[in-house]
Amino acid sequence: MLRNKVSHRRKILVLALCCQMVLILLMGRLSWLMLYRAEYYAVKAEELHVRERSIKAKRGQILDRNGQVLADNRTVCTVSVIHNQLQDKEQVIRVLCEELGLSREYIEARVNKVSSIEKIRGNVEKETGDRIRGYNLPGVKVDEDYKRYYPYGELASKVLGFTGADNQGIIGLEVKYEEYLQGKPGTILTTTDARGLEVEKEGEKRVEPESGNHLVTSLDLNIQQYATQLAKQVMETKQADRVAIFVMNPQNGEIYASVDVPEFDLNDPYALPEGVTAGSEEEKQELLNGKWRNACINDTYEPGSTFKIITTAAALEEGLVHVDEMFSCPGFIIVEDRKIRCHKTGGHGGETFTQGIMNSCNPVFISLGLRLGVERYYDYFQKFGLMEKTGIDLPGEAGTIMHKKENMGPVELATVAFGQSFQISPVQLAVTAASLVNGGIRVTPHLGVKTVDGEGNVIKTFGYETKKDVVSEETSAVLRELLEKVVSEGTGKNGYVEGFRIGGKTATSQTLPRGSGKYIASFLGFAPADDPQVMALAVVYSPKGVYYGGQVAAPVVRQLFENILPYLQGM
Amino acid sequence: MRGKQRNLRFQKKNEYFFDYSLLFIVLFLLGFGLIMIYSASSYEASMSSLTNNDPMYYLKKQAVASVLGLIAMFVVSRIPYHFWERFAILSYLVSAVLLLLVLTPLGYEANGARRWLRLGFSIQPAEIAKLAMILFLASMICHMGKTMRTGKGFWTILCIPLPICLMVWKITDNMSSAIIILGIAVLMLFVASPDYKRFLVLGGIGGAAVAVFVFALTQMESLQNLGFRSARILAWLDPESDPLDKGFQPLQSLYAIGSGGIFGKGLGQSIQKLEFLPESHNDMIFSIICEELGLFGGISIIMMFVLLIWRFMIIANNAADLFGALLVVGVMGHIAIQVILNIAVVTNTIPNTGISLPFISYGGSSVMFLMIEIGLVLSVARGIRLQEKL
Repeated sequence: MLRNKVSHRRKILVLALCCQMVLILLMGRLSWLMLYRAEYYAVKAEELHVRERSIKAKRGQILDRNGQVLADNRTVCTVSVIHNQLQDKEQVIRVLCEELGLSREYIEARVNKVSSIEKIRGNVEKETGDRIRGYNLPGVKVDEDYKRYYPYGELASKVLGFTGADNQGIIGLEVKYEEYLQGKPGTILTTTDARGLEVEKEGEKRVEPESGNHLVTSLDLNIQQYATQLAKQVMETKQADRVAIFVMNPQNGEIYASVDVPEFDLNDPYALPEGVTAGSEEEKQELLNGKWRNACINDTYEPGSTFKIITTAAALEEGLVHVDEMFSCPGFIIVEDRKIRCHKTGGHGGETFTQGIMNSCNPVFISLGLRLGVERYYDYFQKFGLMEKTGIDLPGEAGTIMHKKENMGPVELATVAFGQSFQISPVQLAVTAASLVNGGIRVTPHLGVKTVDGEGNVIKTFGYETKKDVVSEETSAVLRELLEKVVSEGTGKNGYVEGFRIGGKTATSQTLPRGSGKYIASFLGFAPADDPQVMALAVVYSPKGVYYGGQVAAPVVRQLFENILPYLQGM
Repeated sequence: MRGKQRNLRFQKKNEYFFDYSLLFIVLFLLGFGLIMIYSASSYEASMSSLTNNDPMYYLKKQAVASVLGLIAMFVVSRIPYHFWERFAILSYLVSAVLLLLVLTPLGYEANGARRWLRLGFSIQPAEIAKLAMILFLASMICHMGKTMRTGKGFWTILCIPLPICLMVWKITDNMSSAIIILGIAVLMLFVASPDYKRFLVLGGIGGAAVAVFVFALTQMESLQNLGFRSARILAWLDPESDPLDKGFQPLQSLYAIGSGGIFGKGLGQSIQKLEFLPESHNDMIFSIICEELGLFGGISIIMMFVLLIWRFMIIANNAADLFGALLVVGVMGHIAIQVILNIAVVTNTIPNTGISLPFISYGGSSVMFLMIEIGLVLSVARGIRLQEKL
């Protein structure tokens, strides 16, 4: 038997020490990994393990100037099932059938589908969701969610706009003020295994969503409601295609109301108008876009005689006309080789300029236009801000469609002078008129006033550009007087409200193509005439029967003013 | 020496030595292994119909193997180790035959490799081959006597394990076991041979060859025709370059280790074991230990193995004869190599290869044969006469 010699023992010792050395080196490696690289790998591992489910943020409300809520949120629920956590499938199917009122086949198919999470139904009423949660069914998940809700349905639909499936703004104020309203979505972080199944013992980590800020607008619920009622009324009685009413403060550009009937239900914006069916998807989108358009802002029209305000202001500013200057109207005027008729075929005969504007006599304004000449007239368009957009805080504002300066001959000049042969948006006309009668300050029309947080603290007050000295104070004063006369004694007398000084101008324009027999009746009024605090523009598209602005549109503004002037005085 | 004083009490009743420290370390590792196997496998087992959705599936199987192993250990420890010497040549031949049997219908495939034999119970011939190699080499070296001092003796011993290694590698496609067997042989030879130079030269050549191979691999332009081992080496150098294939397991292992921190997430709290880390109850169990018990737990386990090696050294140095000493050296080499390679793989210190962590990783054959080896060591320890040494 061989002895275990000293040399062997030494080698055994060397061997053992070598092995232990290596193990100690590995401890070093392990320490380095677990102390210096821990953060790097731990973060990577976390990314791998965690699944994010986002929680919609509560969208900010849209309020009117008095704090009335125009756009709100409603809590709704999403009901889903997690296949691997289901226990009593039969019970789950039965309960969901009963509560959600869905067919058994539909729910059965979803309950039996092997997926990590299967949505059964979204936008479930909160009470129903709470009831389902009350059953405590394993594997059935009821997540709360917010959905936009418009308490007044149709009211101001084309101004407020609506939101899509992810609560993002689609049109109107909802899209314009998206960044303030949307808030910050939260997340539910759940740890999952490699197959994506939730690990229950790890629980959920929630990053709470931040609610959006509320938007306070300049809209006035009462005025908007009343204007809508009037617009509907006139649309019905005159069988008009559409009626737009735009009410603003001419001093600062705040919009009190913007109506364009037919409006649409904001709580169901994708419904097509009754009796209309769309063939293709594109066709449907086209119809919907048409339904959502705001005539005051997104569309242009030929303004007609209301534009004479602009012509008058330019001529007065240049000193080319005096209110007492005599004109004579034979019923037409010849410009170059064209004979342009006055709306009164017999002619107004001899009249002062004041009478001319009261009569809305075309030849008078054609003369004014010719006196100004293309160059100067065009300069005034630019100075008045007619050629630019108004900068209103709503998307899709339509620009002015005007002859190019180099293409504008005397005939074009003559037609433009009384408001024909070009197109302008109603809001542009109202704002330009406002700046001419308010003493020469071009304001930016707007709805957004400020944003406030949940506690009512002001987050941001919106500022808007103003441009001073668009016309002189004297011109503005003369213009106010003239326009007051139009209402008190002239074509606009249907706009008169007892006890108030009203200024205004009527217009009757044809829709293109000419000769279609379709007209647009409009009236632009403001009050008080000596210091305008409110301006309203009513536009009635294609009224049947009598179509004159003075008869169709002026009464609308009168009724509006009758109601809102006492109310505004109290404000 | 503490051990000496403690054992003085036994002197009167029994003049033989029983190494309780060794037994304690082994029992601790075994028990700890069962806890970690349950922790690492329960989720996966409960999710799979292959394991009857029984979270205790792996734990139960391992517990049975452990109990059988313990019984085998006690039986072997009561048998004087020289009893086994007569089976040295036979065991070598049997292990060769068993390896060949893998090619017959008796062999079967699991986890994508044909490594098991079904003989009423399933067994890995490679595990038998390791034990057989230890026994055969110890016996050979003792028979060769003084020849061991010559170059002839050196080369003979070095060549004996080669056929078995080749068979393990080629037949069962298990390079790691082949390396372990060769490693055991080299370590036993190192102790038996009085020479140092040859080992230094061998080590130098081996190291240089590996370095050149790895360097050549990184310089290769066409990566199209790489074998899976070469791809594993590249994944080792930069696991994040191939995070979904070859780099997947090393990277997941690093994630587990990295998310452990100093004291870990707590027993049972690992996330990586939720099917992110493949083989989490098996070759990669050390990552889960690190994730759940942190650096503290990881180092504690390595320390247990350091202590184990120290116990082996004490027993080998005090063995009654060279045969006993060589048996212990063989067992020490086997366990040390596996521990070192396993932890090195798990920490991505060397390229990924499947080596289990002794006593802790899941694996019935492995734990049975390890316990038999511990039984042998205890038997050698019993041969130490307390009056004589210690």
